Amino acid sequence: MTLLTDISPLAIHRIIGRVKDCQPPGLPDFESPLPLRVGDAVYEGSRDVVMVAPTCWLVVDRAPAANAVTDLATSAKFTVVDESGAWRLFQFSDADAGDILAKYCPLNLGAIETGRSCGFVSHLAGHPVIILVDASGRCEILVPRSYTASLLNLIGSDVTIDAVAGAPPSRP
Amino acid sequence: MTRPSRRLASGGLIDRSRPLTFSFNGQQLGGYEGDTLASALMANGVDVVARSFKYHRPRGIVTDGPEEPNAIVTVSEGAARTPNLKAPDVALTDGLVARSQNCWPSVDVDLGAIASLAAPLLGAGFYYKTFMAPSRAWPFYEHVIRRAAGLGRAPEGGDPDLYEHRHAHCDVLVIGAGPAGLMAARTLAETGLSTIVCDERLQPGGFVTATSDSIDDQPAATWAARQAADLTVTTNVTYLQNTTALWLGDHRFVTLVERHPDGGKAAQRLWFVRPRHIMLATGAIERPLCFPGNDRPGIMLASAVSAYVHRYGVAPGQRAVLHVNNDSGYACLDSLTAAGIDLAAIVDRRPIDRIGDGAQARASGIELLTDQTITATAGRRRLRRVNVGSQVFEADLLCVAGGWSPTLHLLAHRGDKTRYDPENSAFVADVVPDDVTIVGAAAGVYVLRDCLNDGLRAAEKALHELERDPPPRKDHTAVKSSGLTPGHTADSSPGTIGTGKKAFVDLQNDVTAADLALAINEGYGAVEHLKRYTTTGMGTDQGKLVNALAIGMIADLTSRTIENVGHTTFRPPYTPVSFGAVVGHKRGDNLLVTRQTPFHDSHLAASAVMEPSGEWFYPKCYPRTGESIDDAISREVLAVRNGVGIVDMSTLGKVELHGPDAPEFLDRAYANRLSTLRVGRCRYALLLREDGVVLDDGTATRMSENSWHLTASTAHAATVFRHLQRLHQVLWRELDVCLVDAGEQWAGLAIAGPQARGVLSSLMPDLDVSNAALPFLGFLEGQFAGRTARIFRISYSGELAYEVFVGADRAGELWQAIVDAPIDVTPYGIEALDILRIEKGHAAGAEIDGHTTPGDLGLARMAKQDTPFFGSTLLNQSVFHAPDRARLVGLVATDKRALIPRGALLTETSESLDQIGHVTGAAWSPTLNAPIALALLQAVDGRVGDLIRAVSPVTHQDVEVRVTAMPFYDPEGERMRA
Repeated sequence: MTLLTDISPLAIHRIIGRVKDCQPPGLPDFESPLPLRVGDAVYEGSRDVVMVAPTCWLVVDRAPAANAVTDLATSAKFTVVDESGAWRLFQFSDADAGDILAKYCPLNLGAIETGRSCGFVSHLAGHPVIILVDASGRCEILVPRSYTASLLNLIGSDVTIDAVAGAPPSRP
Repeated sequence: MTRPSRRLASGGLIDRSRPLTFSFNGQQLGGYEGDTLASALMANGVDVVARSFKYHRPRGIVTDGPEEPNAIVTVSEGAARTPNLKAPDVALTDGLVARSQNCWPSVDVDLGAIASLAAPLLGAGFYYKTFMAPSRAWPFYEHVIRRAAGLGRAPEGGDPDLYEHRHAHCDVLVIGAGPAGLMAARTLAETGLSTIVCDERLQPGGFVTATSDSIDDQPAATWAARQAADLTVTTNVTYLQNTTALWLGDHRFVTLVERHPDGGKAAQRLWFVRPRHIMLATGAIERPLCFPGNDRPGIMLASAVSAYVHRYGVAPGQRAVLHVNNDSGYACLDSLTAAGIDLAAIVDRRPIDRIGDGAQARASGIELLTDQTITATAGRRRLRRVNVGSQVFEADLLCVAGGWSPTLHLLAHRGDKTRYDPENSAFVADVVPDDVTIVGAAAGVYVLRDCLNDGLRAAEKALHELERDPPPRKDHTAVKSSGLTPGHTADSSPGTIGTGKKAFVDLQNDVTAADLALAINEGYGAVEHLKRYTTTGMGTDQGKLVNALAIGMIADLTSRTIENVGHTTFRPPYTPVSFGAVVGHKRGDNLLVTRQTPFHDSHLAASAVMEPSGEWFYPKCYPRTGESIDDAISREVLAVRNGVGIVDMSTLGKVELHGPDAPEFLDRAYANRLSTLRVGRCRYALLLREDGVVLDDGTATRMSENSWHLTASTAHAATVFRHLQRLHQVLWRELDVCLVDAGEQWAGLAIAGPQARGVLSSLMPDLDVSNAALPFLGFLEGQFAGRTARIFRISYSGELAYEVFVGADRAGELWQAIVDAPIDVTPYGIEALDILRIEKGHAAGAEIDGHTTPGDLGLARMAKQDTPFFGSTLLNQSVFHAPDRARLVGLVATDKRALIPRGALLTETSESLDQIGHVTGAAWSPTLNAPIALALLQAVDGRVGDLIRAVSPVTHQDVEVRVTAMPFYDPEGERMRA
């Protein structure tokens, strides 16, 4: 059975460019420019940057030394908000992720071009999520913390849950 | 009772090596893998399968598909019981238990058949006429009608089966795996397009499995099975057998129901498919004919007779009459011969010169009665005799062929129009949309070779629409078919009215030709009116079997053309679908999406009683061992008033506002002035809708020059964020601000009570939290566990209080640190929280109910008078300032033992029926030792001290209450400023 592992990262930041700055220039401390198409993602080492909405990016750091994002807070053109406590990140162990997600998610994940990294704001049976797919086809879901137990309870029959990084979900 | 076996010695697509047993009405019967319940019943000689809806007449199997009007049964028992399944749609499984419904004590002896005696009184619309008087008898009528209404019994207990949902996207969805659909799907698959093929039957092939036709020198059914097998293993194709397309919506959104997917792991799977192109290969449904006595068991569609012979190896009778109004029915002759069924006669409604040569050739040597119709039938539980004028034929099977109706229901669901085509004698698609291709019998193509070629044509059209090149065309040359095109099709229902015998138009709803005539005489000429008045075509039929008969008759009776009459709306779903499939995984714990606060595990560890509050799970209270819920709540309230308590505030809406124009944005958005707020200060903030009604109240805190922290009530958290986003993105795009929903990021605890400062000091010893450094409505940032913490001195309870927010991933640590403080801290839940706020007179969700204005809630002074804000224009309308408008007041019960019922109506006296307000929140106040309430009361000026009644028609309580000033507790607010 597919394994769903909690790999909740060290830091997640939301970068918001104000409306008048919706075309960002290259940013300090980022090796690559931010993706400019909603749904596109770039990976820099242990950092994922996903454009989740117009003028809005989510930066997911999986390793320490992620101070660059907070340095951006000094930029006049961007607002940086720490959302490290807001999300849990889960990784599917194999390629069956698409089959499982298709039970609950209306997105056409099959249309993702091979070799393209992307991230989509969507929902799984009413639970808000961001679905991340990297160029190798690895699939992860970012889940708002408060919805985690409900979502894991829902898909618990489809996957084996390994809630290592966070507290296991509990029900009343 | 021993019944004759009608199973043929050979033939059919059943697997005779896999016998199955099942029970019907308690009798053990046998069948084979590949049978349907209908075919197995027929093979076992079961003639009467059901009783009709109104007259309880014996009814047998008429069709071999979802259009079946009679054989509606209940399958399984107890919690798994499923009523109202059509026997031809039920795949036979070992141990299946089925029963007839709508009969008592049995389907063979049904006392309900006494209704036939009252048939003259039960004509069209009888219930509209009969139950009008006397009016006082209506409760009795209602009781009887409710008992009689509906079919079948609901299951007992929760459904034990599993159901799934699945979303899919594809280039082309092919609906129907008949010869045309398979041909099209194969062609599409070769081009690499992602294709989903679904077919409602147990085997692929559609109508060819009901024939002895051949394709490419192999039986057509074998050809179809091979095509389906090839498609199943093709990587870009998803092939779904036993799967029905239920509904076609806008933007090509199609729902399918797949029965027993993955070998029966789930009972049903509901698919949500979004194709780029749709191919309707949905076939056509043969129509019955209307004549006196046309409902007896043994009277079947000619195509169904062929299906039972060729698909299931069953001979539906021994001696038959064929009654047709078109050529295609003559194809049934081959099936009768194959099954060894004698043919007594062919009765054709057309004159000889309108019968095609092919049909006449088939009828050679058989008694052919032309230009005639059946005038009567006989046989109580099975057809015995057929009368054609003075001629009488002994027969136990009457094969009826009334022409074909292309199955275009899915198009109709989407609102695409159909028109009557006199050449085809059927409704066809008026304008075929670009995103749909109609193919095969659904497009009026009925002969096998033409269907195969039409499949190729349709695939090419779809490929053109999808801008793909078609593969080289491969026509089929080796096709042998006994099929006949319908040719000229005569009327379906002449000479049926005024005979004194029942000629049914709608078998399922027991509607006769006389009913239609009566309704038309009574003025119901429009087809939709007739449908409702007579129930013709209602229920599961929705235009499958009945429509053509009824429309033809309406046209005759009203001297209109069929095109002029039109047809009724075909409502989705195409076939009944179980509630389980619709619900899918949303049952039990997964019925609703639920949320847990970051302190959830801490609550459980503290023995909290959890309860749902909106979508959240929230602690109700924390009872100690042996303590009642009420006692626990009172203890928690008193702990906050006299010591210190903590309560989870994480569910509050939290919005961060950043940017240099934030003060301007806030002054425009909120009713009270916020731009003057200094850094490090908080203020209550009132948000209105555009119509001047209060949307929410919360707080605004200026964390730095350009950064603000806004809160909203739990109930309105999402609404407030959407509202603010809309104001910025739609109305005030020129303002340089950005909004972030920070609700998930922050875990918050309110530390409330006279000893709150001591707890906070122990939590953050390096932080000065004195009254001077952190006064009431002050804000500080501190550090907790190495991360930023936000501390707001805000009080909901009316006591000295601090709201401490940390990152949600630090929630457990915060809770533990507070619990470990040297001061005894009492966790309190939502009940105590509510009592505390009622004692303080704070408005909450029950008062901010979408009707109240700031003035109603006593907050009018908060609204800016000199500057416009969102909602200010309509806030000034006179109706909001009427003196009799309901406003927030306090109530105290005069009898301390009498709790004031929540939601009670307020009246001047017990006898009065005039409501003057209602109770919005009520509680026993442990602080005041009295039952208290908040209420919205009309014309409140000068009413403090008045005695009125709080009356609950729900709890049957009538409590005398005194109107009081608010708040009940600490009116000067000295405690929260301490």
